[in-house]
Amino acid sequence: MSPVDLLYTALAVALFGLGLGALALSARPLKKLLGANVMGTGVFSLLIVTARGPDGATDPVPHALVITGIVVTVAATGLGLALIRRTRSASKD
Amino acid sequence: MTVLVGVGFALVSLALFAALVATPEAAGLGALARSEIAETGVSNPVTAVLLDYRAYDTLLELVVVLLAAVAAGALAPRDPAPAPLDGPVAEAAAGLLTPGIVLVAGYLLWIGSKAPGGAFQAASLLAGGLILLEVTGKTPPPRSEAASRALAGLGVLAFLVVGVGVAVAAGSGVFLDHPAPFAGSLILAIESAATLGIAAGLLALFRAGTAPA
Amino acid sequence: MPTAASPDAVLAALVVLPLAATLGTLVLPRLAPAVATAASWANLALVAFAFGTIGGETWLAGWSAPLGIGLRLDGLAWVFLAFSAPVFALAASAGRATLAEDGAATLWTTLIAGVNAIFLGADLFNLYVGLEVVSLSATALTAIGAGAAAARAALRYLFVGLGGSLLYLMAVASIYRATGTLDMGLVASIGLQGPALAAPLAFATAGLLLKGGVAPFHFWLPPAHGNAAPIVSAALSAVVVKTALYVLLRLWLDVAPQTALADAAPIFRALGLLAVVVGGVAALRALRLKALIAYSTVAQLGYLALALGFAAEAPGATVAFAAFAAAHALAKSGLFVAAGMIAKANGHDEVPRLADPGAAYGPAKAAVAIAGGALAGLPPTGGFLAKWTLAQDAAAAGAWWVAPTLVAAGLLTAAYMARLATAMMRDPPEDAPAGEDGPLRGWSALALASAALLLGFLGAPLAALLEAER
Repeated sequence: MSPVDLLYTALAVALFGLGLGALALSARPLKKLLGANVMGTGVFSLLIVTARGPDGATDPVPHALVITGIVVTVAATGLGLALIRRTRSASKD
Repeated sequence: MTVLVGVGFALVSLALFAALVATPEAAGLGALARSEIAETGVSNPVTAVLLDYRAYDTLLELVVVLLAAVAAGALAPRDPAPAPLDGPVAEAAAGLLTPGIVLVAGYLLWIGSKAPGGAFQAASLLAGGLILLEVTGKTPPPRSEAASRALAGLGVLAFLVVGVGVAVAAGSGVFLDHPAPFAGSLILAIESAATLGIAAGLLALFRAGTAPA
Repeated sequence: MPTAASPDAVLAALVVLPLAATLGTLVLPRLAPAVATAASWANLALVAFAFGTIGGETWLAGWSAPLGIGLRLDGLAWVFLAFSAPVFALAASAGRATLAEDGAATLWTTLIAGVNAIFLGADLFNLYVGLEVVSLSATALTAIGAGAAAARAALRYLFVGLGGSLLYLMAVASIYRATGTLDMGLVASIGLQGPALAAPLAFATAGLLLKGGVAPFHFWLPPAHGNAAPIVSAALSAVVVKTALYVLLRLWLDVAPQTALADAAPIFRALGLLAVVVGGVAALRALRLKALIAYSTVAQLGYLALALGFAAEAPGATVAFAAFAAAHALAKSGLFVAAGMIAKANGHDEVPRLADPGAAYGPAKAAVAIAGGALAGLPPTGGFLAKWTLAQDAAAAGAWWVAPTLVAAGLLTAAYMARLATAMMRDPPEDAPAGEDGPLRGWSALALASAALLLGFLGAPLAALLEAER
């Protein structure tokens, strides 16, 4: 593993761990949702490092997985925001 | 307790990092994806993966966008729309930027077959343009909830029609298999529909997730 | 020239049919509940038809692994499809009012598509997308047409679902990094070892246990299952939690080497026992009927973990896993539909105050009795078949404690189900609201519970199906 790969792998895992912490430990729904997004960013970063294969050539498969993963995460986040609004308006009633 | 769990997560992350460092990387599929690319009808390998090799992933991903848009619309409280941004800056931004955004989105969609770009990039940009119109009070179409949902299903529709249509017409029965001579055009057709569908889905998610001012 | 019944067409149709119905619900919003119900029944017919293609596979888009994504229909996949499809069909028929809620019919069909995609899935990343289709559809259905408590439960369910999916996705990314493939069969043939195997297995297992609601990760389950509309609760408990545990089983059975499962077996056995005790005791103390049933799910999921804990030593444990999953799915969905009717007839769902809803509720009351027997594992139900199979296999593996444990757990189940039976013997209060449910709901509940009973007679074919195609 090159030093750059090592650095990116460490950052990817750190993002994942921090996001997991926010998702599990934060009391505020919006923070939890952001935590899940940060977790996702961690996984996507790892996939991007993976795409930079050992031989230096780029592997398109992890890139495609990242695009799919991002779209899924955006959709889940949108649904989460709508649900947060629903819980807030329900608690006002 | 919180501190304990936090320390636990940190240790788990460290263990994962150690495992990743200790594991030699495999060669990946880059070489194979390139050697077969002539069959796919596109020359951008990422688009080849998304719309041909792993087109089924992309279909399910469009289903996620569609179902999230429908669910968010159904679940969000029916509040009055937030007050639009106004003033000369907002006016100019919406008026000047939107045509350019639509144009660039179209370009990204088109170029995706040979260079970085494609339906998702185009759709996010297009949705950005629509949201710009939305927040400046120029409510872009689709205006009704029903139309918005039907439009968000466009990408799934294109995948099903082309996937089933070709399987039946070619007699192979293999879903999502695009015959080589038409593969490029079929992919562009699916991507165009997917661009509109994803953009409609993202706009619906924005509308559902925006709280009134 | 392949025939119409080629696996290519049948396996793809299991995903395409519900998705076509999804589009139908969007184009014809007024007919959406009818479209979703018709699709649920068509899905059942298709699953029955697919029996003839067991052992088949298809490579979507015409690309085989490692570039392409495969769908595989082995005996195990068919059994899971075969107990899910009737739950969707009968629950849809029983819950037309729920399906008429805004968006519900669309989400019901995407849920079916996602469930089928997971049971057929042979690609690790595609399973992630399938899990998201299922968990987002299920999350939204939990909140639709239900009150503030359901919205809060759905939000928590969303966070658990996202966290679980992302833990699983991290495992998938690590596996691709180490093997250069996402196909389960190819990953297995590469034979990962040491930390390269342990790390992804640990992450995926944690994520899937969380999504599957196995104790101690069950904290989110009772509020979600206990506050949703009855048919949604039925689908959530019968099918949705099983999708995560199905992927878990596949991972340990088909991807990881057998020695890894043998090493991890004590963990699954411990979690299983914990779930049986925690869920059973909570069900015994639950105030609300739907909470009682939801905690019973927590306990029953323990049996699945327990069966997985013996799958390395005893091949029959897979049969027990499938039998537990099927018996619980059919009995629990019947129970939720029936309980919804009984609670509605009573005007509340507090177990100590519940009373007999009257003679008009015969099928619903019969469903409660049969489902209770199946959950407690009384012969000749599917629940008994599952326990019998597991006890035999565990004894053969030297674990003498499993048989008495299963009997004790059955007594615990009988004890909390008896609370419901006692309620059914109380005279109704004068001011009870008149039941307005059509007879269809009661008969749907009874059909589901009866299927759990019938399953008890299908032990030999079930075992043959799982042995032959694996």
